[in-house]
Amino acid sequence: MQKRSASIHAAPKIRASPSAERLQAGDECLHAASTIWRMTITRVLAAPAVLALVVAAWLLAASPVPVAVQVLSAEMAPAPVPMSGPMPERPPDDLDWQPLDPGVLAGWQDPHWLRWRLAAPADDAGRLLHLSLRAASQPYWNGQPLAPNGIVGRSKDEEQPGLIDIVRVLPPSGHAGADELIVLASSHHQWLRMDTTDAGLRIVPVGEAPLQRAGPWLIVAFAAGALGAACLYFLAVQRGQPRAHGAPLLLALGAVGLALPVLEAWRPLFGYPYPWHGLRMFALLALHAAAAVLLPAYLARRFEVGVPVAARIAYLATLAGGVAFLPSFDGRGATVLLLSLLASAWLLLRAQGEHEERRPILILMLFGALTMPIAGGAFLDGPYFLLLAVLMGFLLLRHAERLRTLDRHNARLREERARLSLQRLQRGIQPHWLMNTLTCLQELIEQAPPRASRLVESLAEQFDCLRESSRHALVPLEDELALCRNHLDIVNLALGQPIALEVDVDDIDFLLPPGVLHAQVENALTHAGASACTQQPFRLRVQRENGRRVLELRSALGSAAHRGQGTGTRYIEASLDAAFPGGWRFAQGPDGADWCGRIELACAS
Amino acid sequence: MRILIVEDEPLIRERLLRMCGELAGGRARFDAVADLDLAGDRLQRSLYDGLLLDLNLGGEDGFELLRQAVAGRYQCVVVSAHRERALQAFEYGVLDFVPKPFTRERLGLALDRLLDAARYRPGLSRYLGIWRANGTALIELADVLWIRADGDYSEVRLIDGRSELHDKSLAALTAVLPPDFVRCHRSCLVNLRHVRSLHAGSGSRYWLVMANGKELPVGRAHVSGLRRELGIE
Repeated sequence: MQKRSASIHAAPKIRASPSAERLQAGDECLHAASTIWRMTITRVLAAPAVLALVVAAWLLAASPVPVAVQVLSAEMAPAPVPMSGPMPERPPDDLDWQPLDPGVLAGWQDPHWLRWRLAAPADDAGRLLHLSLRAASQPYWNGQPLAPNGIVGRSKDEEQPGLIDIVRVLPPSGHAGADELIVLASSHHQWLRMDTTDAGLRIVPVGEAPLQRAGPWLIVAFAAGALGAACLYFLAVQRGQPRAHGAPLLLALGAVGLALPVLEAWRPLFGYPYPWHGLRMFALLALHAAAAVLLPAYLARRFEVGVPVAARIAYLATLAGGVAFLPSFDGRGATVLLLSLLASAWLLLRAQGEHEERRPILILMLFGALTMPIAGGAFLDGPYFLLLAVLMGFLLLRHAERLRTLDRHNARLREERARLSLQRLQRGIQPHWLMNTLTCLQELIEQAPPRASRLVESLAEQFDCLRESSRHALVPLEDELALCRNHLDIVNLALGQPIALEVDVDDIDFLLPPGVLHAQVENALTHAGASACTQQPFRLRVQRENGRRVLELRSALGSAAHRGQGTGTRYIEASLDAAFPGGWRFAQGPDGADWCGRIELACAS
Repeated sequence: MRILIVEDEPLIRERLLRMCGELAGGRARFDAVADLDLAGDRLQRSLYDGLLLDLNLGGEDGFELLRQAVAGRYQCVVVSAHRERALQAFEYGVLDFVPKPFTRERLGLALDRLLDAARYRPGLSRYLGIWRANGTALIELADVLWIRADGDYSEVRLIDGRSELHDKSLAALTAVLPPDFVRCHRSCLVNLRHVRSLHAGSGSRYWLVMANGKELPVGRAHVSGLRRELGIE
């Protein structure tokens, strides 16, 4: 065995470098390490930096408009209305006004009065009234009726719903002191009973910049557009590829990320009749809940974090509880969001490896989780979409990059497989063997036609086996042995003497690259000679040793030089490397009276 | 003539032996062995005039053997499965190349060449194999000035002034040398590529002046042929 180890052919060759080369190699290593470090830092910080930028842009755009008028008081009272006839145009003097309470107001559906007293402006410049009410309304400014918003009614049939947000141009105050806005409203078309209601009033100068209201939403639209582009890019990369881990979850999350800002921006940018409000809020909550389920699910799948079923159920139950029992939509949304961010952060902390991928996501999660309690509802109104858009954009682009890398890797593998397949076929029809066999066939046709016929059959079988096996990356050991036996049959027929192949195998279905044993048999016949092989049978032993699968093929030693350095050996090594990258070892050389080829596979089935 | 067949496949060996015997009739005797080593020193002892050699020319080993074979005094015909190496084999100085599988007619043609080599020229050799103490060396024929008979051997004069002795006779070499080599004398073949001029002296005495300035006598019977080859007729 000592002799064999001396001539072992080891696949990786390492050359000792002189000290100067080592120094240079050291410098190159340092340079490469610093480059990788810079790339890592850039990658980790890119997503949080983008988020910080868009949030800053949002905050700048959403800075509050200077208020023109100060609200002195806000009151409400049920409106006594006649059973029929026109609605009253002013509240009775003895009406029992009470301070405006959105919680109580949310339960009022019948006609009611709302009254705001406002400090008179310093000048009499034109002003706009922004009124938000979930009701049909008829506003009166200092007793003067403004354009109605729907038709206030005593019943659902009589009421015609108005828009949730309206803008009216206010007439000049006309007198000093305080202005009074009185609104007669009814809310018979509430689709969903809510715990609180909007009753917002804002008076701004007429000259407000047109983009002032839409500015923040333009930022959101920009982020959503970027997210949409990332989704399209992802779909383009994904097209025609097998589904990668979590791709459907990621796409669903992207769809949620796109739908959320659209729903949120619907009200400020386009408006809608107030009965739609409940539906919109419900849809928003559903999207928040979907994001809260999809995000941790994708991260768990992406980073292969095992989550116990009990933990999953507990998380879903907590989400469902938050959605069902918390008092307001904002509270529910915030809770669901916070839970999903915390769950995602927990998953990222539990994941193994891939620090470069996890850290930026973790930073985004922690940013969101920390900002939530500080900013509260304001976070949900804007930065949340931005966080989601940046996060989704990052995830989609990284996922697409992984797919591209996988695609390149697969292309290399396909190329390598095609090359090996071609090499395999070329080896199978190598001229020296084939032409010699055909020449033997010529002689057999004249000498012994039945033997010639058998040789033709064996040759056909050999080429059939070769064609079939060259189409696969791995074949069962049984097939490979059949190919070897067939090859030996052909040699037997030509030689007139049998060559034996003794097999001691523990698992005949074990998979291996096609041709690795066949090539060794061919090598033995070429280098040791067929005559030597008749004296000494081939002996194959396949067994497990220390968790590795070992295939040892012994054959005649022969006397030919350069054995084990030719195309056969290169083919075996390339095939093993393609099928078991990094998990194989092939050594061959003389061992006593034998030539021994030994293949070790780490990942044996 | 005695011809040795070297072929490792028993069936093909039988085929060669049988066919050669039938084709040559009484013109030659054939022996057959599985490889060159088994021929032992019979080749060196000049027992054979020709060699029918099966070579696996797929690797370098085959050409090393071929180099040894063509350095001998006997003519060599290669019978090989590597059809694509035929031209290369001719450059090494083989007399013929029979691709496997072969027919009786093709083998007969090669055998005719082997048995009557003088009729078949010019050859396609680019090299001459020379025996050395440590094996064989290859000489490029383009570097050869002339080749002169030296008993049963041939003296090969090179452009750098060196001389080598080749095992083949001048007649045997003639069969494999390219058309550049022309008889200028009964015992001398000259490489026309290195001829500078042809001079005529008194008494119909002719001589060639070679590229290195050296002179080479020209036999009277070969003057006309030389003039024709040099294009000065």
